[in-house]
Amino acid sequence: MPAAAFAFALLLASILPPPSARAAKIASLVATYSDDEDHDSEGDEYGNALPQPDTTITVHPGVALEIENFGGQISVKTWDKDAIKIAADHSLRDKVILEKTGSALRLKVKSRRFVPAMVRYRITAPRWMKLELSGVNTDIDVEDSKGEVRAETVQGDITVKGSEGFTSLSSIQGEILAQGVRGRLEASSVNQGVRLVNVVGPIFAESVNGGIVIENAESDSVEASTVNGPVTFEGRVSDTGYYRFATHNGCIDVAMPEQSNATVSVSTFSGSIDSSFPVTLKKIKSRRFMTTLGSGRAKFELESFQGTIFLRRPQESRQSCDSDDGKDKDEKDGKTKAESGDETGDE
Amino acid sequence: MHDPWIERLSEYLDEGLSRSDREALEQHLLRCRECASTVEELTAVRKRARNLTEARVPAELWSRIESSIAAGRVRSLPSPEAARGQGVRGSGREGTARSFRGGRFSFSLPELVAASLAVAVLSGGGVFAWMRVSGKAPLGSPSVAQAPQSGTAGERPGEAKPLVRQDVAPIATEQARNLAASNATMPGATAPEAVSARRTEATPHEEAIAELRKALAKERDRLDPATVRTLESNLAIIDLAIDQAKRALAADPANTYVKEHLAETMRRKIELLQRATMLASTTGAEGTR
Repeated sequence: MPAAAFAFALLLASILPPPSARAAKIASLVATYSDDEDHDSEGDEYGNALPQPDTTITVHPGVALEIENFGGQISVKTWDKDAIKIAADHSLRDKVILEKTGSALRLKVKSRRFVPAMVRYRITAPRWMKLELSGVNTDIDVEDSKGEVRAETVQGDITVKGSEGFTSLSSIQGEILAQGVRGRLEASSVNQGVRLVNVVGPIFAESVNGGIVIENAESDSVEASTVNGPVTFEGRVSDTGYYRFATHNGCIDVAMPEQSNATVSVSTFSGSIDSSFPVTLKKIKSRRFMTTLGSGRAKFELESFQGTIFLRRPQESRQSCDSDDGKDKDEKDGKTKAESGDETGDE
Repeated sequence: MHDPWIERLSEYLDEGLSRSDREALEQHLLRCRECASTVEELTAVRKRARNLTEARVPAELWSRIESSIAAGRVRSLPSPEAARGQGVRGSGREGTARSFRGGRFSFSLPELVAASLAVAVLSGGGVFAWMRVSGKAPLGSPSVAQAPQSGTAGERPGEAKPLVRQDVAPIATEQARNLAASNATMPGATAPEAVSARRTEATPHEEAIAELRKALAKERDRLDPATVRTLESNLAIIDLAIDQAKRALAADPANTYVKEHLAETMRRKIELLQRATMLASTTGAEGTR
């Protein structure tokens, strides 16, 4: 009798999940096929049922990875293998589905509770793999990808480090951070800031209610604009470059060497202009000024409807774009070169 | 997951894609009927918009823009000396009308109107096609034209309550408060009733925006309330910026920077509405966003 009870207890223990598993546990990964033409040739690679905690699948070059997630996190690291390693922490009642459609692998969740699932994906992907990652309440992190990266969230931060290739990052409510990215970069957040550090390549950054900070950029094409927030740019100025920074309510802070070869156009309605090095502002139109540095080949367009536009040397400390937008400081220091409506320079 | 190329079709038609992207998209168009169809629609819309700009806009639309802005100006503008912008070139309706008849708006607003119409039609043709009709009566909330804290504009009398108006949280950041506060110091800062009255006649781009808002209102229940609050707060921020730019333009009609800035800010509003509408329409069984 005791032996039978012990055996029953063992049986129960083998059936019921341990308590910790209820919180977050790698449960199952089921691979299914759509009716694509590669079914036969790649059947061995994707299998039908893959219950292992960490699933590694061989992939051919050119295959993209698509992940749709509701809540949680998507974390993608890369390696040199032509294989993708998938781990997903989630409730036992949810199931992660891997589909192959066309030339893409798609990971999504089938929830058994008819409520959106919370999943923490930990992916190791081939460096070349194109990534399309989207989430609602999901943070997304990508490191060292050399393929195209597209990441989109509603409420979740997006961080991309060390990527090469086209990168598109977009969020409604999350912060955007791109660091060490090479290649064309498009970054936008509606309600948070965008920070781009050590980016090499064309940059397009946008926000509505957040600031944009671009540090140590190496680009010949930079456009950054917001409605309500400051825009800061520090980086190398290419002689053939085009740089446009705009805000409605906030300051523009641009660090550029005095020896730059740039034509700087500055526009404001009720803001002011401040340069830490001598410049001669020529008024070209109402509230639009211009100055030429060196040969003037590069083009800078700086626009703030009602904030201060700062020009400073790269080694000088960043301007604080406080609520008074530096106006008081300007007046105190006597540095303001022009304010709206000033007849500075020639008409 | 929506087709990522769909968002780049306009860029493609504008010849703004890199060579590799263009080639990739052209390959994609051979396979994707939906994108190919959208490109065709877009091309047709652009063609129509182009014709509209050349043939019809000056006579029919500028007078409406003129009367709309002039009405706001008559109601709201202080004397030129009191206006913040020292470059005010005159005051009163006559001066404004003369300015507009002189074609000063032709610099950027025609493009804006054409783009707005194109976006509206696209949104109707593209986004609406995806959206399920919810069956609810449209809420008819064409704009939230002020930041929640600004208190510069009231709701229109007799009009349905704006989209989840009660859920709109105050804009949290210091900068947003500054923006709202700065509105009071702008030229032509007005009492709520004046702003409300000024908006009774919608310009074409405002009509396009209203259409997008209606589309969004139909699908709003699919969005998480927090997301709706965020979107509404940001739309309010943009509206405030638009309002300020309009007043600045009324004070200084020749200011090309302000014209461009106004057009840019309106473009941003349309894009945000588009994005919100697409977000709502693509939110399906996987849960609310």
